[in-house]
Amino acid sequence: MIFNTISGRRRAKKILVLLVSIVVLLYLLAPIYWVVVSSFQKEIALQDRPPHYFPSAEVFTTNHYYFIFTGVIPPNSTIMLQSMYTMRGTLVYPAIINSIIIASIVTIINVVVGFPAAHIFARYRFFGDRKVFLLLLATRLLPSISIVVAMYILLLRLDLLDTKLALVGIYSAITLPFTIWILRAYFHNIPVEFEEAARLDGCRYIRMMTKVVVPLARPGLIAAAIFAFMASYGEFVFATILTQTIRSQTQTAVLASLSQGMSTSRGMIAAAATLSILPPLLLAIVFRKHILEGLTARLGL
Amino acid sequence: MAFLRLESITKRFPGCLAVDRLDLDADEGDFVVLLGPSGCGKTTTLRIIAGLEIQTDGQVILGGRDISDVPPERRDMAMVFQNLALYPHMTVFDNIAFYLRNIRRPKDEIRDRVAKAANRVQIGELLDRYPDQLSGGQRQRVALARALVRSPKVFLLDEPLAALDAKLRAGMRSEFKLLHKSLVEEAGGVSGTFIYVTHDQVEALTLGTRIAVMNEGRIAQIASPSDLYRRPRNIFTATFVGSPEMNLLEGKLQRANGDAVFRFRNLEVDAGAKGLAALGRAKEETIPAIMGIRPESIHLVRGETLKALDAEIVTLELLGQSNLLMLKIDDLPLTCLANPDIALRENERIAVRFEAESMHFFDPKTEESLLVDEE
Repeated sequence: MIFNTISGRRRAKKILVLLVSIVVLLYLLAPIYWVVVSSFQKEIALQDRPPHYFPSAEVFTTNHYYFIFTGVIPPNSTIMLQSMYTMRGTLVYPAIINSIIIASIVTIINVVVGFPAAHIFARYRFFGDRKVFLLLLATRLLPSISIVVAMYILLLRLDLLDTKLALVGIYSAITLPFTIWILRAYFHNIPVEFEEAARLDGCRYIRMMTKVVVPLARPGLIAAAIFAFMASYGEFVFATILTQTIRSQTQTAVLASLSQGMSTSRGMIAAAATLSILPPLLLAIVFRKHILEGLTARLGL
Repeated sequence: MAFLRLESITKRFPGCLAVDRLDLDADEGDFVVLLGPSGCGKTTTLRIIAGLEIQTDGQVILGGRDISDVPPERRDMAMVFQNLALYPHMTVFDNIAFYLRNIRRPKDEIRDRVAKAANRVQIGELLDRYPDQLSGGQRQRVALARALVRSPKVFLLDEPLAALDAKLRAGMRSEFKLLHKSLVEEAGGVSGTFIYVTHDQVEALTLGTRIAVMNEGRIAQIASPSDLYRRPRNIFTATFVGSPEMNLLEGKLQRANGDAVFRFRNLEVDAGAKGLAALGRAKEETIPAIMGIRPESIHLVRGETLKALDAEIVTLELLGQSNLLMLKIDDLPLTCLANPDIALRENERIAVRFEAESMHFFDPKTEESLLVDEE
């Protein structure tokens, strides 16, 4: 038997690990697969039982995307389907753009503010440093829903309801503690001697940061920036309560509003969901090397 | 006035006094080694000189100017760190050129100076590599080149050889010595001052022109290598410098007919001129003393000699150029280095003689040498 030899046992172990990974992967990817597959199916096919797990060419259509981008009800659709396309579907594309704009600005703020803040928390001792840091982390413990009403009133008084600026401010406040926390941990893994060497090599603080600290911390910085982007991009509670029009509505708010009607096209909702997945997916693919590096720091010592 | 001077430097960390009123002078061209066990404050002292640590009290004076408030980037000192701290994201060339770029030297000058410094430590062909593509010894050289390219006022070296394996370390040690020598020769004695921190006495004795032995934040003794070995001023220096360690025997030093003898247990050895000097102007005929004798100053005597002591060999270690003996004289343990040509066995009884000219005498209370005003 193969299990009686060491190499056989090792191979059996490998196969087991592989099987478990496949199961986990299927579990995680199945809903996404279902959404993507649904977005390309005719509405009528979506109501078939059993459902089309692996749709054939007969039920394939791009009508849902066509409507979202043009607002024109596809001429070849049935009367029933025409009534199911709500005009809110055309907001999906501008809402995704809103989300990208807001998340990008939040990311930039996280880098510009969070990076030096984390560096200072990691490298310098000052009066009350630990308390300030803990307080910062403690803000993460508040559930969004518990402050959203207060925030609503605050923004109402400031006349900032339904603005992108309000969301940028709130998302920065939400993401910064996390960014500072992981970057601070990252700095603890970078020997302080690099910075001391830079000092002796004639660098003042700013030059030391740009020439030595930023390059050394780059994987961590990119990982933190991506986390900040993802968190802002996918935020729902504040987005849905503090926005009203497409002036500031994000993709989460619009997506949620699509499914409110009783007879909304499910294919269109699936198409909208598929589109909203694309930006973070692209980001993750482009920076996958850095995300991994950020989580497993490697330094040429 | 000395080129670099530390005046009464004190550094207090929460719950610990790292450096305690330390004074140190170093001239241009000096190679000063701070030698001591770990935790004695030697690295802290170095970091204070660099400005990476701010002293609680005292002054750092460079070229007659108090630089205590000058930040590290404006002190014109180069440092080789224990972990070398080569910038991993820069090539060897960029690592070496970093300082010159920071002070905005022209491109041609940077190229020439980097090439010169790199050639000096034989890494001229490695300039395009990254630090993680280099061997331990090569990285060491890059770190050195990074300091050399600057011609700084002070070179600070923090256990630079600690990361290397034993064989490489010996090679780099000789290179350091040659390097320092050639730098001083080229500059006609006015090259930068070297301050070198180590816990390795071999490094200290071979490299230093002056060695400051540190213990618990203070300098126990500062002297040339040979003086340090031959004339230790206290028990700490006597036992810390020299390997195997100096033997210490507690007893009494006594005048006897214009001569001096050292008595311990019920034994007696000739203390010679050193003994007389240690007795010095003391009015008493007998003073308590601790006698120190290095293992190589204990000689085996064959045949019956009047003044020999009876000893038993407990263990015997072959070191190659000599044999290390653990002896017992009347239950007192002693170490002795013996000529390897003499055939010896463990548990054998032999006769030994202490070389009177190589004895050291210390005050048992203060642990200071009784031979300070010998000259």
